[in-house]
Amino acid sequence: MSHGYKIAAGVVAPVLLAALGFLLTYAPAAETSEVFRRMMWGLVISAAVVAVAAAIYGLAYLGTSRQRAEAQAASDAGQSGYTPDRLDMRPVKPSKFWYNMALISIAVLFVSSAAGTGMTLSALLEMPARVWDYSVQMVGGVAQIPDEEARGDWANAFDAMLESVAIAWIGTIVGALFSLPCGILAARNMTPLAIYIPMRFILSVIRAVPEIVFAVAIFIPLLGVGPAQMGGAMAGAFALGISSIGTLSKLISEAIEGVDPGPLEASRASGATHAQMIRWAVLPQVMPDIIAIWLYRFEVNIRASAILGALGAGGIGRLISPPNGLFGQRPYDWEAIGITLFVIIAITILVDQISGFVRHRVIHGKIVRQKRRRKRKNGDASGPEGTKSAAIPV
Amino acid sequence: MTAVAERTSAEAGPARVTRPEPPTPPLVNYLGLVVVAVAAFAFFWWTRDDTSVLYLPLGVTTLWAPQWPLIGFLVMLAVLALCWFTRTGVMAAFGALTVVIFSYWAGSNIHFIDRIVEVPGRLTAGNTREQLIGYFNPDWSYLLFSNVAGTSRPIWGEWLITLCMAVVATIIGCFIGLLLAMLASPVSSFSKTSSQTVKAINSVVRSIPDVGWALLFAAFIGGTAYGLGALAAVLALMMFNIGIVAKLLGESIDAVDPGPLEAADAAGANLLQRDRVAVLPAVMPSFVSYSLYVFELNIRASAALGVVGVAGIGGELSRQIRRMSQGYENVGAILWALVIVVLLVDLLSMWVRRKLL
Repeated sequence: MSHGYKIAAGVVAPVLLAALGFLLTYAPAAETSEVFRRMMWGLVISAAVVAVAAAIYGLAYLGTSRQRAEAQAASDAGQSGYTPDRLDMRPVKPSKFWYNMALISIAVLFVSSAAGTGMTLSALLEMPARVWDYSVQMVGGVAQIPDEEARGDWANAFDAMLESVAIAWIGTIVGALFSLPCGILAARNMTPLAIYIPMRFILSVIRAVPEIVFAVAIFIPLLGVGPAQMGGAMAGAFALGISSIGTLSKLISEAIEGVDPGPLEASRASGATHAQMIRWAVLPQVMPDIIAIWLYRFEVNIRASAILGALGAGGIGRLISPPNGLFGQRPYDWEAIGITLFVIIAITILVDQISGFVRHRVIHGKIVRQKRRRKRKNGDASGPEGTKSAAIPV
Repeated sequence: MTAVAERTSAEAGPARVTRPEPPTPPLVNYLGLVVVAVAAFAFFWWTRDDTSVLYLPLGVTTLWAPQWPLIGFLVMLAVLALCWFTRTGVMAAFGALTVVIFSYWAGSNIHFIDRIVEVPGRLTAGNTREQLIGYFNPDWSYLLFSNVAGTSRPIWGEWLITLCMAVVATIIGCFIGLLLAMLASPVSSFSKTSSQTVKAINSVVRSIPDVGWALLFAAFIGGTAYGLGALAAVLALMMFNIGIVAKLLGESIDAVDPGPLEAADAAGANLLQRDRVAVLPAVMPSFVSYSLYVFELNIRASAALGVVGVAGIGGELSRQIRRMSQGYENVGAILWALVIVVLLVDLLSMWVRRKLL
C-alpha cells in the first residue's frame, strides 16, 4: 500500500467510526444508559480528532507533492551530485502502519471508555489537601503512644490480619493438595492424551472463574458468612484454595514438562512403574520449583483474601470494609485506619520477605546472594545460578 | 547352557550387592526439632479454645491432654518419625514440621474442624439448598432488562462502566508501571539509591490490597457519588496495576541481555538513550503480555470493587446479596455473567497475544 492510500484510509476510517458513534447516540440503548451515551460521544470526539489530524497530515503531504516529484526526478537524473548505488542500500525500514494504527485505536478506546466512566476529574483538585490532612492524622495514629483505644485498634488490626494470613495459608494448602495431582495429570509428558485434554479444559475453566464467584455461590452458603466463628473465614479459605488450583496446576504442569528427560528414560529402562517414575525421576527435579510456586501463591492469596472479606468472608477485608468496618463509620476514624494500614503493610511485607527467602533457599540452596555476585565478578562461573529457570520470579 | 549361565552357577550365588546408604541425619538436630514440636504443643495447649480432653490410660495411671493440641502433637511427631526413617535432611524435616505447625495454627484460627463437620447438616437443612438452587437457576431477564434499584440505570450499563474502568485503569496504570519499573531496576535506573527507593515504595504500594485502595480513594475524594465512585475505582485499580507491573517488569528488566546495554554504553549513549534503545525493545514483549494479564485481573477486580461502594457491578451484587432469599436468582445471573465476561476477555487476550507475540 502506498503512502497516499494509507493516509486516505487513515482519514476515512475515523470519519466512518465517528459517524457510527454519532448514529449510535440516537440508539435506544443510549436512551436508557447514560454510560453508553457518554461512551459513544467519547468515541465521536476522539475519532473526529484523529480524522482531523490525519486530514491535516494528508493536506501537507499533498502540498509537497510537486517538490517531492522534483527531488525524485533530480535524484534519478543524477543531478544532486551523488547517486546512491547498490553498496549504499540499507534494508528497507519495516512499515509501522499497523503498529501506529493499533496505538491510535487504543487511544480512541481509552478516550471513549474514560468518557464512559463519567469520572468527575475536578474532584482531583481538592484531593491533595485532603490527602495531606488525613495522612497527618494516620501517621499521628501510628506514632502516638497507644492509649486504651489505640491499643484496641492495634489488637483488632493484628487479629484480622493474622486471620487473613491463616485464610491464605489454608487456601494455599487446599490448592497445593489438589494442584500436585492435577499438575501431573495436565503435563503432556506424564499422561496420555485422553486424560491430558479434559484435564487442561477443566483447569482453564477453573482459571476463568473469579474467586468471588466461588466464594459467594458455593462456599458462603456451605460454610457460613461473617466472622471466623460463623465460618466466613473458612469460606474465604476454600474459595481461594479452589480458585488457586487452576493457576497452580498450570505452572506445575509447565515445570514438569520442562524436566530433563534423562532420569525418566533411566527409570523406565530399569523397569520402574509409572508411579515409581514420578516419585524417583520427576519429583526430585521439580519439587523446588513446585514449592516456590506454592509459596508465591501464598503471597498472592494474602492480598486476594481482602476482597473476599468485603463480601462477608473473614479477614482484613471484613475489618476495613463498610457497612460495619472502619471505612463504614462517619466521621472516619483516621487514627484507627492508619494503624490498620500500618499493620497490613508490615505483615504483608514481612510475609513476602520470609517467603522470598525460603523460595530463594529452596531453589538455589544455601548460597547468599552477595556471595554469588562476588563469585561471578571474579570470573568463577561455576556457580549453580543459571542452571534452573523457575516458572515464577524467584 | 551358555557361558554366562555357567559362570554364575560356578560362583556360589551372586555376591551380595552393597549399595551406599544415604547418611543418617544427626540425631541431635532431630532432638532439637522434637523440642520445637513440644514448644508448639505447649503453645497450642495454652491458646486452645475448646476444652475437650483426651485420656491416655497407661495402666498405672491415666494421663490427660487437651484433645486437638494432642492430636496435632502426635501428627508432628509422626511427621518427624517419617522424616527420620526416610533419612530426610534436617532442614527439610524442619520445613515439614513448620508446615504442620502453621497449618494447625491457621486451622484453629479459622475454626476448620467445627465448620467442616457442619457442612452435611447445612446441605440437608436450612436455606443453603435454596441458595444453591437459586444460584444455578439465574434470572437472565433481570440481568438484561432491569434497572438498578431506585435509579434509571440499567444493569447492563453497570457492566459497561465496569469494563470502561478496567480499560482506563489498565492503560494509565501500565504506562506508569513501565516508568516505575525502569526506575526500580538497577539496570536502567539513575543510581543504586533511586532503584532501592522506588523498590521500597513499590512494595508498600503492592502490600495494600485493592479494596483498601478503593476505600482510601473514596475517602480522599470525599464520597462515593456516581462520578466520584468511578474516579475512586479507577485510581484504586491504577495503584493495583502499578504495583504488579512495576514488580514483574522490574524483574524482567533485571534479567535483560547485557549485550545491547554495553553496546549502547560504548556508543556513548546517556541513560535515557540507553533505556530507549537497549532496555525498552528487550522488555516490550513481556510488557505487552503483562498488560494483558493485568487487564484480566482488572476485570475481576473492578467487578468486585463495587462491593465496597465505588462504581461497578459489584455494588449491585452486594445489594442483591443483602436481599437474601428474594435475590438468589439475581445474584446467580450476575455471577454467571461475570464468569462469561471473564472468559470472553480471556479469549480476547489470548487472541491478541497470539497475534502480537
